[in-house]
Amino acid sequence: MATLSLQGLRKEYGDLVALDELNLDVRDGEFFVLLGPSGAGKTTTLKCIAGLETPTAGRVEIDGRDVTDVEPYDRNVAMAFENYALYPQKTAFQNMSFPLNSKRYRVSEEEARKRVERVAETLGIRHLLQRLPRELSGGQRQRVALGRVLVRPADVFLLDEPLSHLDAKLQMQMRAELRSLGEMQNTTSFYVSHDYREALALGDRIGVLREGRLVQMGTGEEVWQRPADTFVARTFGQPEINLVAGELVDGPEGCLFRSRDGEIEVLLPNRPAPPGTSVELGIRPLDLEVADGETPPDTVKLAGRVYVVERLGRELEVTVKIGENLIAVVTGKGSKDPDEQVTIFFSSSRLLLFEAETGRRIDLEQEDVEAINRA
Amino acid sequence: MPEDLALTELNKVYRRRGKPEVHAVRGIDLEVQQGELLALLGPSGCGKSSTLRMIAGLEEVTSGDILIGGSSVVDLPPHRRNIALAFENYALYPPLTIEENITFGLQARRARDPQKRAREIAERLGITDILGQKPGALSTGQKQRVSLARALVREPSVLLLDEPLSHLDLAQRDRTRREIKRLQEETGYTTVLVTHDQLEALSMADRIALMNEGELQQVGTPEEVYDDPANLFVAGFVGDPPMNLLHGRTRGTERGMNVSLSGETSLPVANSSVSPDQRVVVGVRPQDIHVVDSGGPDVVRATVFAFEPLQETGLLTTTLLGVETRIKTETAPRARFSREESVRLRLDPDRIRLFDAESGDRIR
Repeated sequence: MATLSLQGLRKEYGDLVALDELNLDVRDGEFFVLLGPSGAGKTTTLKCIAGLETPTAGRVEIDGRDVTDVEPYDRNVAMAFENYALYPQKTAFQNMSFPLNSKRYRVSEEEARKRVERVAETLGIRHLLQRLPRELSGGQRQRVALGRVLVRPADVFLLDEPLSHLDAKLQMQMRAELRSLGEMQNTTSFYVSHDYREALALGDRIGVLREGRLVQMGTGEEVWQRPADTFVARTFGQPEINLVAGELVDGPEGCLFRSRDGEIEVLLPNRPAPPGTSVELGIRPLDLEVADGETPPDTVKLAGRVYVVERLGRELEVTVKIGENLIAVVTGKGSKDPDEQVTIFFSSSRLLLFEAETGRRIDLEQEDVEAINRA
Repeated sequence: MPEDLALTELNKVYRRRGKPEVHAVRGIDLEVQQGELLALLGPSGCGKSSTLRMIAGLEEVTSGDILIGGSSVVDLPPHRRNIALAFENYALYPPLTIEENITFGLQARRARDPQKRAREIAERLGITDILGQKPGALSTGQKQRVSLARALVREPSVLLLDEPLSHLDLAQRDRTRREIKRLQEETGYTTVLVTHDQLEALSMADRIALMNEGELQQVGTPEEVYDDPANLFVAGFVGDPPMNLLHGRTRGTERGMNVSLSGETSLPVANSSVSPDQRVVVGVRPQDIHVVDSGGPDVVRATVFAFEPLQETGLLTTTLLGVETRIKTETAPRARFSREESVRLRLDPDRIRLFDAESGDRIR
């Protein structure tokens, strides 16, 4: 059990800045997920924590102890790579129990066997323990490598996309298993992923990394409901959030969002920024609905034509064209025909607004303080 | 001019010296209507690509026939079949620009204003900015869209798309999928889409032909394949998260037929074609199981194993009393469950599907 803290972590490779001023704290026993696209610096961060890379600046602390200059072996972290390295001449069981033979972690043979079998059971590889790596599939080998990490006690588990080589169904199954594994629940875990669903499913908190910078850190609910910027908003959700470019204008009833082509106008609950500000309006496909006759009061309504209808399991994704804008709606209602006239609606409480220049979210609950002061 | 396409008793056997014979495609009968988009769906090695390659004329037919607009094409070379093909592994001409690659050969066919059409399609696929470039500089995702654009500007009798979205990232995939579907609807091209991705097939196809081990498993609309699977293979392949499949045995009681899943858990079944003491598999989708407050005939007891707050939805994994297989339930996104908590689940009786455990066939 331990806390993990990264302070001003920076890593340069020649002219390339891979990590830029990374600050984050992982609590004791927490499951933390670092989420980002490939090339964002996730694996570099992990290697700095493990001691496999030396940061250019900043420090790594484990349980309050500065380990920046400590050898990997003495950091008491256990790391599972995306590219597992197993001993080819040892069975899966021998590979998994190997760390338990070392002086530091030595346990009785009986205890080692119990631990390996329990972890193997959870990972669904118990029946494969007597096989050699070459007799296993890629996904099975990956689970053996993960199991090898989980059997030995550590202050922190470092996990680099450990489910990436599994097929989609197994991934989903393993996700639920991993979270409920006793070892995982008691050990601080730092998990790297590019899959937003994995992050939401596993993470007590999630850090979103983009080009070496931490864009946002928070619980799943926080990053979902109050994304820091358009990058975070687009990272979570499938189909992706609808973003419509436009500007703020003053109307007779208050501040309006008007799309660039003038075809979409939405009355905002207040004036969050001065008129003329270039913004993007964000609304998630799940928060939109296709009208069937009457629409509920206090909703924003938009009229358009059906562009395309796609089935997602039982639900439909209806893409509606309004002027030049394509808006995706996920609905459980009956099918629509292409080019049919439809009204779509959403509750204004679901609306997100972003500053176009920086991509940063504008808080709609906060009035335009500057404008109030001016008035 | 789009035409209809028919495959009759189509077989493909690969015979290589020193290797066992591979019967890759086994007696496929399939009709694709004029203007229809049919998805050939299946796992890798199921025979879908061999089927596509036979339609294109890139593979010889071992036996059976392929008819386009009612006439057999099996003896015609690829270029005389009036087919357009977008590959997973795009072959672009390196010395030509992207625009030239897209319009290549169109002048020869006296197509109407090919440049204009090429530009329109390029815009819709999001590749306008690279029209002047050479293929060498492109990413795989861009090459794939160029290959797609090249197939779409032709006016083929049959359009063949082989995993057209496989190299695109999630956002590009959404956009490209939407545009392919819209373009296909506008042009009315008869289209065969080969894919291993069930979501791609569900979202784009008018009908899906699901293949496994060289044989057709089911042909139907996305709705039919999703809600009315013909066998266990279809039930397990289509849907994300997949359908829950639970093994059990039927039992006659004074109140009707039950499926007993374990000593402690059983479900009533309203299916008159099962016989008592038959080994069956109960299939039910995660969105057709509901967490409820009180008991009832369709309600079973379960213990929470894990809960995943996916925000778009909640995904609850539980174990039914005495049942080894865990089941998944979709819940409201803001639900809260803790491990080992007891819950009651109602399995919607109208949505339960029964399969014979031996043959895997649906019991209707």
